[in-house]
Amino acid sequence: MPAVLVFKTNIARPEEVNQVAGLLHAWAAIKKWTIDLADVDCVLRIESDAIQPDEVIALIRKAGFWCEELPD
Amino acid sequence: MRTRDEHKAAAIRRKAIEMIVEKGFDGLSMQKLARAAGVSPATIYIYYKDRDDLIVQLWIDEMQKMVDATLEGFDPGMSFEEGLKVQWMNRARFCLEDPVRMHFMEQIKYSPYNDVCLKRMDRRFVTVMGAFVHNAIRRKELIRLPLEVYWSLAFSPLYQLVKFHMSGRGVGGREKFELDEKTITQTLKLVIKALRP
Repeated sequence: MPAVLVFKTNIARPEEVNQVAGLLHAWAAIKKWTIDLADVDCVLRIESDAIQPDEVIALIRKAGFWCEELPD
Repeated sequence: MRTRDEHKAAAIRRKAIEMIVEKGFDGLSMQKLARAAGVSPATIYIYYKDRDDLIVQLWIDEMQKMVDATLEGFDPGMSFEEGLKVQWMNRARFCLEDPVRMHFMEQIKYSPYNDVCLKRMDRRFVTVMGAFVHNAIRRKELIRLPLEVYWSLAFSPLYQLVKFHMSGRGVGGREKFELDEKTITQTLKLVIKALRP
């Protein structure tokens, strides 16, 4: 099982998901990712063994969205 | 890196099933579940990507337990009478020891999740049960019937008795009903009689 990283975002609509989809797909170290649009925290979930949370946060913020690690 | 904790995961699963049984599928959200299970939403997302994923995984988990319980001590080469008895006893025990999860499995059956779930059914179970039936037909212990007719005769009487037991009441809710081994054996005898060539 790869490690799971979870983030709170403000990516709330399908067209907004499309805006970050290209960036996430292009990142080879990401095995799988999903954004739960039904959740208030619009949780971005990433399966990867080779990524640091800060890298994800920087990428999503660069695309113009809010992103922070969802605390345990 | 977040760690997986089997105790936490089991608590999340149990709480989720209880919430669904109590409040229906719409009564469950990742946030509500996190509060009820005393974990953070982040913890739940380690295991599941969203609510639908959680519900389907819950079914797979329960289905697997059901398959294991049902096949305990069972062999598809058993005589029809003996095999069906093992099946009945295993199934009755499984239903009665945890009515909440039975209720959850029934809810899935009548929901849009059913199609997705059925695709994840344990093939081993289907294969073993199929082999049992074909062996019995070959040995002339069982008549050949359309599958639904066979299943309705072979198992529905048991599940109806279990439902009476779970409600605590018999037909029409008039009298108290408790399922015991004597009733199971009596009913099973009639079922086998009906299915014999």
